[in-house]
Amino acid sequence: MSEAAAGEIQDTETLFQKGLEQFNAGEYFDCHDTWEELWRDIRGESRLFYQGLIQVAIGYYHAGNRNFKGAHSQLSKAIEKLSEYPDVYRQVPLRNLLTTISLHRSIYRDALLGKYKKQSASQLTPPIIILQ
Amino acid sequence: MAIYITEECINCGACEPECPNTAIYEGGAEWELAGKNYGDGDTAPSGAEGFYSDEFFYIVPDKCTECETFHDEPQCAAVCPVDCCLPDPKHVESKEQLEEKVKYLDEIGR
Repeated sequence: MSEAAAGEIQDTETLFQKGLEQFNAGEYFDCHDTWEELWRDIRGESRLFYQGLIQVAIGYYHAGNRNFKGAHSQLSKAIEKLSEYPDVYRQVPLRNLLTTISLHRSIYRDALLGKYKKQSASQLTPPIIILQ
Repeated sequence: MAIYITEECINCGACEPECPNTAIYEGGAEWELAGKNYGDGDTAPSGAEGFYSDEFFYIVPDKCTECETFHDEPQCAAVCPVDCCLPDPKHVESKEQLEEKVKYLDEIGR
């Protein structure tokens, strides 16, 4: 592998790890910024994976601002993308993550429809991503 | 059809520099066409209205050619991380109409 290629992979990994720390710290907008920088130059199979993760982050960013419409929409887009990947991809336990965000998406939808208390919806605990 | 930016925009600004026609503006910013400036409430020369936003990035329909002749797909949509650049059902245009718009923008110097 060339030095340039090795450098690019390190950048991707560094950005991914940084974004992961931000995600798990609840810093969703910063996380999206970091992962967007990574995603911008990604082509091929993993592009939609990283974009899906960005949309998870933005979904919870919206939820934190009680924008349940935005949260529902972004989590829906994330689910559509991430569902196309294996149960574990790039060490991310996607099946577990999808289970949680699917449940939260339903709750945000119900909050929009008045079937779930908005106060309670805003207090859902977002998932933590722990690499396997 | 022209592209529009939905209210899901998170103002990351990734789209603005990608537009070959400078059709994308930051929320609240005036937009320009053929040497004239326009702002909130102004109708575009084509009659388009309601596209301006003071909260999110917005696209001027008179300047959007969906990247026809420049790229294979609209670049704003390609770089948007939250998929909020979508075909605008209020401004449906044929390939030929978009190509005419490209020529017009070429003539006025974008």
